Amino acid sequence: MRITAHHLLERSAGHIGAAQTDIAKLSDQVSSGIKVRHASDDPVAWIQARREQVRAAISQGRGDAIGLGSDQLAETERALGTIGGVLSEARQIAVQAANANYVAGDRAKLELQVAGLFSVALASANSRNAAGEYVLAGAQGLVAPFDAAGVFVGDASRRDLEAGEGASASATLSGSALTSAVAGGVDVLPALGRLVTALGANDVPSIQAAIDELDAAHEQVSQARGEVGSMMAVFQDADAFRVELEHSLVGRIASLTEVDIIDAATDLAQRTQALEASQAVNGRLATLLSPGRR
Amino acid sequence: MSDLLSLLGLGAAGLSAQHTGVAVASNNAANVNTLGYSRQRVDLRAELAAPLVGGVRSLAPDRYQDLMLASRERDAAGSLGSAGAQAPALLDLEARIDGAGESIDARVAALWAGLERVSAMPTDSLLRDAAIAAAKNLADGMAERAAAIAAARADADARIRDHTAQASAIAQELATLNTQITIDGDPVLRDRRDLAAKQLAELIGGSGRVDPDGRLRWVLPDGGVLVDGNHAASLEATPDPATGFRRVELVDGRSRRDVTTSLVGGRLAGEITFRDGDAATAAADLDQLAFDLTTSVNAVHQANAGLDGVSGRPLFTPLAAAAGAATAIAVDPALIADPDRLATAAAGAGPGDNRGALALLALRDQRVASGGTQTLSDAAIDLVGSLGRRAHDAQAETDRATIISDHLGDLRDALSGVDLDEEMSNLVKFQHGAEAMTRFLSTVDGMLGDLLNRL
Repeated sequence: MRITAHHLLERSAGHIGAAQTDIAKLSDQVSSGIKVRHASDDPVAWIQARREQVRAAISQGRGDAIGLGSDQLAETERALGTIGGVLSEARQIAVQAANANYVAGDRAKLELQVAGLFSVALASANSRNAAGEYVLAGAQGLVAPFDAAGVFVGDASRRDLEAGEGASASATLSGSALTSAVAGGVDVLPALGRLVTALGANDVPSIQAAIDELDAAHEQVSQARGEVGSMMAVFQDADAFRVELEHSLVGRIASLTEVDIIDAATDLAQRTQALEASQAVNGRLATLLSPGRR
Repeated sequence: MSDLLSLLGLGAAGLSAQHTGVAVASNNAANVNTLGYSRQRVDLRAELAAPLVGGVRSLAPDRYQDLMLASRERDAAGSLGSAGAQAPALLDLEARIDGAGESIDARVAALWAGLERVSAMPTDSLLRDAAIAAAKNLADGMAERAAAIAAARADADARIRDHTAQASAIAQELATLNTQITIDGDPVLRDRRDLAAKQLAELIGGSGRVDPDGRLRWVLPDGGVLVDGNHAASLEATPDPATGFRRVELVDGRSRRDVTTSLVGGRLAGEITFRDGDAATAAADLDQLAFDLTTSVNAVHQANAGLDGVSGRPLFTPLAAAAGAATAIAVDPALIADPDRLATAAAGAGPGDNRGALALLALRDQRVASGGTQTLSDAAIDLVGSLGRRAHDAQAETDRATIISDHLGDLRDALSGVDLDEEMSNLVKFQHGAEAMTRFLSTVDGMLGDLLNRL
């Protein structure tokens, strides 16, 4: 094939241009660490990376929800703990008050003490979360679930949350767990109220009956606390798995979109050598083909 | 005596032929960097030597050319023009859709994340506000992208207008060159015509053929004739009220024909493919995504209740059809004014219920987009992914067409390109020939002088 000098120079210049383009692209990749910035860079990798990014973003939202759910459960657990403590204390007072040596005046003093405990238990049963929602109210979160007598007026529904991809778990416990709606259960706060009444009435048989009732109530609260603890454990496990998933997603996104620095640096060195060679050839051609040498 | 005079004539003709050779070589050297120039050659023809004196005669300079190669170059220019127009337009659109601000798929994910947070605490006003803000952000993002696509299509439309005007000017130039070539056989005119034909191919595709009368005829893919001999029709970009964009018409006298969809190859077809194909598809996909999002979310939202226990209200302003949905999508103003209307609870349940939020969240994993084939997130990703894939393919096609074009350019250069070394050799060769003829003339002149002196 006939090759003209003009063609040789043009081809050489073309090679330099191509090498410079390659170097610019590789330099950009090495300096930024990113090889897939746009879908057109590598459509398959980009789409996969975006899907993983969406999963990661959703997972972060789920993490926040799990955190809120866990806070709610922690608040519930704290309230139940307080109620359990109150019940223990009230039982001790009931045992004390059931003593035959106690007189009406002694029981009247104890009545005041138990009434105070009742108030503490009621306040705990009507605990609210950071958003002002009553934690034991079921779906009626804007209304106090227990009235002044300790009677439950909320509903029994629970709130489920996503614990993972395709998995859900309860994040609330209704105050109905503190009522006789539970199989074999008692109305916990009214039981405390009845003790207050019995103490005020100096009614020893009723005080003695209240001891058994308080035992059952304490057991019932303990079971509720256990259930809440189980729910919290589920969310803790879910969150740990979620964090693990996010780490995995971050790694996967990086492998899809980020440059292998060693490969890129090697490529850059090779292309740099190619550019230097092209420039040398171009210089040699320019000298060789200059009119002065003809 | 008469023979000597004939020898003088031979010498003069020989000297003239060598001078022509010098002139052609010099002309070639002078045009070494002229775009489209084909090196020329001088065709020396020996005269018959009978009865005694022969000699040489130079024919008109001719150029090194290959009609088949020129035709292939035009075809390649058409392919390169088409791909070369599409690739940057697609890359630009991709950048407009995905390069600026938060992406649509990220905004979709943010909406799901917002609803997920609300599901954990439905009565929290801050979380409700954030979820509604995420929905608004998504709607705004879609409207911005719809505007970006419309702007990209408008830009392509403007380029189409420019290309048609340019193509008409080149067609007229071709017709003028056809006329000049029939009058004057200067090879430079053919070079100019080849160059103009290649530029026309790069602009509008089609095919050029040199008729037996030496005139180039340019035919569009649908058979419409743009250039025929010394007559040129024109291409006009006429506004089409039905689409809001220009259609391309072949105009010849009173005849006017829409050739928009029949153009193949060339920048014009590339721009039309982008405007009416890729960008239009992206706009339709975005509209469909907005419509699918609105209808699916609203259906769930209306079935559930807000904090006030009322159900049947939309989250997005309802849309009648997919067309224009991405521009029209908006969060229901009443919901923005009163976040309690966000339906996070099941109908009939209390405000602390989160089944409405969970039902909305369940849409995340349901194939409610693209005719029930994709999730909303996947559809949002696919919208940009498809454009990226097309841009990637167009870039690859541009690279491929460039390689072919370069290869054909190499072949053309091998045949028609000027090589200075070669021209310098020719110059020396003809210079030597001219010197020889000068010496020959001097010898004959001497002989004639001697003869005349002896008379």
